Formats: sequence, structure tokens, C-alpha cells
Amino acid sequence: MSTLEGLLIFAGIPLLIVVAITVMVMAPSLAKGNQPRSGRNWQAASEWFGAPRTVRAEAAANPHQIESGPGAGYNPASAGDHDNVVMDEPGGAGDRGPRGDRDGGGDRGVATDAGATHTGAHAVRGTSAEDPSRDQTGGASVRW
Amino acid sequence: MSAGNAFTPIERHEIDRAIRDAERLSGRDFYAHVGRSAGDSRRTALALHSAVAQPASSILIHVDPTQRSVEIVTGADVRETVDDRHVALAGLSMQTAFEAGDFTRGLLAVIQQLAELARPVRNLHTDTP
Repeated sequence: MSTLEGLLIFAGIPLLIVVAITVMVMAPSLAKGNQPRSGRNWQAASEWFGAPRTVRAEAAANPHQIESGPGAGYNPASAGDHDNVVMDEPGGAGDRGPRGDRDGGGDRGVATDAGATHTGAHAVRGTSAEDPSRDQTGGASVRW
Repeated sequence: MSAGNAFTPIERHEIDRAIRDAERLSGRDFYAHVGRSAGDSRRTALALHSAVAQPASSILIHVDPTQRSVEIVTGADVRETVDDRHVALAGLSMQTAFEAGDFTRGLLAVIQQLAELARPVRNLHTDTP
């Protein structure tokens, strides 16, 4: 066995294996491209899951469906004091909610204010027992 | 920077399938929304939840990558069987994945856990013919 053959066998083959493993590990992330990560630099469009495709398309076409402010899209006096409103689109699918075409939906378009229950970083908290005046919804807030 | 897509078509398909499976398992409606909140993320989640077809029997997961927060909202009917502390624990399951920027894996984990939690308890004395 010459020196060149030995070098190819004992250095070349391990090197090829290392390169192959590296490519296999990095290929999925490279295929995804420049995927936006969390944080302030998040630029991706909002995405709905669980809603019919037609509603998703309309939501994508109307990214400002969620408006802040008590006067946005609905009479807040009829729904109590709140800060966020899901605007109704008269005649459109937006007024039926994300899955309004499943059962006919309704005119519901305003969130009730159940109070913020946020905690600090990496904190988890259930939300039901903190504000007795809230409505019947429950859930939790998680930070990462 | 232009607005890109947070998920590939394959990832979307996986999440859609997980939601369908969760709905079949639990009998509840599942929704997941990934995007910016209009102000407070909890209030935005509640607004989104109240806008779905049947809020009382729905579970909504709102992920705000800008605020690095996840809000899980359960409707009144769901809350009768799913304790908020268990929901919070389910939320923990996706924390590691989200920290790594893997929203798909995080969402799949929490959807599966919430489906298990919302699964109706079978009573052998009354359910067996």
C-alpha cells in the first residue's frame, strides 16, 4: 500500500463520512431558507390553522382584520370595555369567524376583556382564577 | 425585509392534520394563529377566540413571535373538563421547540396534548350498551 492509498483510505474516507453527515444535518434548514425566527425581527405574515382555506385567503387579503382601539369596527358600548376588536366585514366571511361557514356562524365580532395575565420570561400561568369578573373562557399564557 | 412565510407547505399540512386529528379525538374545535398581536397578546387571543364559530367549545392557540408568547384560550364548555393548570403544563411542552425557532414541532406538541386533555372521559357504566 502506497502512502497515497493509505492517506485516501484513512483520511479521505472518514472525511467523506463527516461531510455526508454534516450535509444531512444541515439540509433541512437550508431547504427552509431564511425562515423568520421569533423576536422583534419577525416579518412573516400571520397564519391561521383550523380555518377553511377560503377564510384563510380572505384573512390574508385583509391583514388588518384585527384592529386595536375601542372604536374599531364595532360598538364597544354593546360589549363592555375592551381594547381589541375583531372587525366585522359586512357580507363577507370575516363576520363569521375563522370557521363561520361550518355552521353558519353569527354576528359575533367582539372580544370580551378578560384581563391580561402575563408573567415574566419563561413563566407559565393559568388564567381562570385570577380575575373573577372575566367571562367563562380559560387558558394559559406561556412565555419563551 | 419582505414578509415571508413562517411555514413550508409540508409544515402547514402537518399542523392541519394535527388539528383534524385533535378535533376527531376530542370533539372540540381547534384553531391556531401565528402572528403579531394588536397590543396585548392575551387580549388579542381572546378577541380571536370570540370570533370563531363556536367559542364555547373551541380551543385557540395564539402564538406571537414578536412578543415571544403563547396564549391558549379555552371556551366555557372546554373549561368544564380541562383544567387551566393542565393547559399551562401543555403549554410548557412547546417551550423548548419555540426557543429553538421550531414553531411546527411546538404547535404539534401542544395540539396533541390539548386534544388528550379535552378528550371526553368514557364512563363504562353509562357508555357501555
